[in-house]
Amino acid sequence: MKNKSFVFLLLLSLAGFFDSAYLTILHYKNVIPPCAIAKGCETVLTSRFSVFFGIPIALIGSLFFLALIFLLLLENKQNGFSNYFKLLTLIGVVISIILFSIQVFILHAYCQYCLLSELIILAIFILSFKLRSSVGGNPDRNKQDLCQ
Amino acid sequence: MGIWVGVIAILIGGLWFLIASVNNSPSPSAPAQIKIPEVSNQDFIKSPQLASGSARLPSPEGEANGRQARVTLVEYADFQCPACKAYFPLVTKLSSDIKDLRIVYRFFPLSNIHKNAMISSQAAYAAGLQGKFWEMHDMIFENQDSWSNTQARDIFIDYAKKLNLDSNKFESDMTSDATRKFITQEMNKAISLGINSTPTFFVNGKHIQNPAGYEAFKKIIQDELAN
Repeated sequence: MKNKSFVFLLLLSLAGFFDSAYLTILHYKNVIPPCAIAKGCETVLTSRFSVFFGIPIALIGSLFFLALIFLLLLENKQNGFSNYFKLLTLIGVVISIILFSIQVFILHAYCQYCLLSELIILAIFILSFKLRSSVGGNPDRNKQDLCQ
Repeated sequence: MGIWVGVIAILIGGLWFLIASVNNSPSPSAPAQIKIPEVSNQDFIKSPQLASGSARLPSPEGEANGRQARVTLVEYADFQCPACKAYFPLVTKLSSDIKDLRIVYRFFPLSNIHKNAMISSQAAYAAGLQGKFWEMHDMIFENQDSWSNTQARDIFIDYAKKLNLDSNKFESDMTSDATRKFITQEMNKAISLGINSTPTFFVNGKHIQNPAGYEAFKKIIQDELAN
């Protein structure tokens, strides 16, 4: 049971990594992209929100997923995931919500590759949360984990 | 547990395909087989055979001594598009380096993303009516940063004065319905053919992928000349 969920999380993190890496490559290749009528990926990927203090968000995302993969492989504990993992995924979810809101409310443009990585982060977050409560079983024991 | 994973997977997959089908591909490109309108005396053409700064031509093929340029490069562009500005020096250099090349500019202002796309097109057209399309075209591209994010009308009137144009006629032409109509019709025709981004280049009527640099661009033209 534990192994199956671990594999799923690993696969999700890998998928997230390849998706972000693809976008990172696109970012550094398309130095001057053509201007398009349709407000889709080009608009999102070249907007002023696509970099954070000079670093492409896609690159940050790639590193984020790498960190997740790293933590997954390192930890592999029996009683759920460490607070580091949960904190990281929580941060990821918060950032994803912000980036998604930017697409909806400011850019009015959507890039499917960005949305995919945001959904993957959400899935990882939900899964790791769900796993924790199902593996532990004892509410008091879970509370103990949080207080560490 | 398996149910959870399955549901989430379906959600992700479904949403992804939905958005992907609504979106165009990440790098926009027109289909390969586009039949653009023939070059006519309504077009703005730069050709070695003509006096510099000529706008339209007195006759359809029009070069002064009757000899046609063997290769025609048509560019659909938006004056506020950074990619078009990046290609501007390349296209200019091509037209001066290659004697048998003529270049044609066609309007494709992306007004929904560039607020001064239309007015800059109008300015160039108005200058063209006084015989100085290419001078204005060059000035507009060179100074793209100065006018892109501000009230541009007066800036363009200023350019017209710098080019020794009749500024009253220029201003009137720039804002006339006829000018807007020409530009809009040119763009709508292009859209109907499947052109959806700028710059879009056609070499002797054939759509080409935007070349990586000057040498790549030159090679395409020279290959066409060799045929």
